Amino acid sequence: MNCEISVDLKIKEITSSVLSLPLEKINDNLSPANCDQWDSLRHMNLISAIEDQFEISFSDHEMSEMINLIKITILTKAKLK
Amino acid sequence: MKNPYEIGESIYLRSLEAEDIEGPWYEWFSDYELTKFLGDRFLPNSKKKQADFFNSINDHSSIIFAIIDKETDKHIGVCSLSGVNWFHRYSDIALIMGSKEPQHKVVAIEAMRLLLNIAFVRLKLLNLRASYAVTNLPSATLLSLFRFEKVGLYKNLCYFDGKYTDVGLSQLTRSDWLVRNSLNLDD
Repeated sequence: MNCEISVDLKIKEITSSVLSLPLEKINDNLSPANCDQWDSLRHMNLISAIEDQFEISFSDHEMSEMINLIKITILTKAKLK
Repeated sequence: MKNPYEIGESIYLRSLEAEDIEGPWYEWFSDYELTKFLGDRFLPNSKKKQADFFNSINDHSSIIFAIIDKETDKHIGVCSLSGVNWFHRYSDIALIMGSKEPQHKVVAIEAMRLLLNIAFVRLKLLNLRASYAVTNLPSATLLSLFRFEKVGLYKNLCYFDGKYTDVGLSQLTRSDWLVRNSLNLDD
């Protein structure tokens, strides 16, 4: 498994855990607008859990750009480079 | 956009206007879910009370912003820098999201980013303070996400949501904020 795929998978696992959704329901199009479980508190918990998992710290601007799963994944990967 | 003061991707902050009293703003402060952790909003609100509040705002020490959805120009929340001490350069910070629309679920983060930018860049404040009921998880989590540091705790200070509750005190310094955001402003 290469590094990119493992980051993708880890983010999906964290999202599954934070949103209390089965892993198979976590797809790139997931966002607060189309997922009832994705409320404001879980959104903040998700960002926090990703910071903890990858030992990174997002800037204010990066956090405010994280409006769906694909953007969260892109910004996390950029941070890890 | 009308009279924007700080502009983000999906929202902007502007000064409150008298016409905001006619909108949903006053109703938020009668909504139990929105007010159950506020220190002084336990009585029903009305347009008249909101107008009185609007007219009492002292712009010098209390700077209150309407949070506006850029796409619709709807008023969806309020945030503030209050108790501003211009000598010591600190203030208290607060944020309330009134809208319960799905597209506004995560807007608080952007509103906080804009408010911190106003405080630390445009107004050059040096410290921000925030207090919150420890049982108010959205507020506690938002402050933690933006690296407000917990500096104290009042035990059982306030009667929130049916029980006496500890109130946490937290602080964010401009210097910590600059480092975390990799900013090197020319002071």
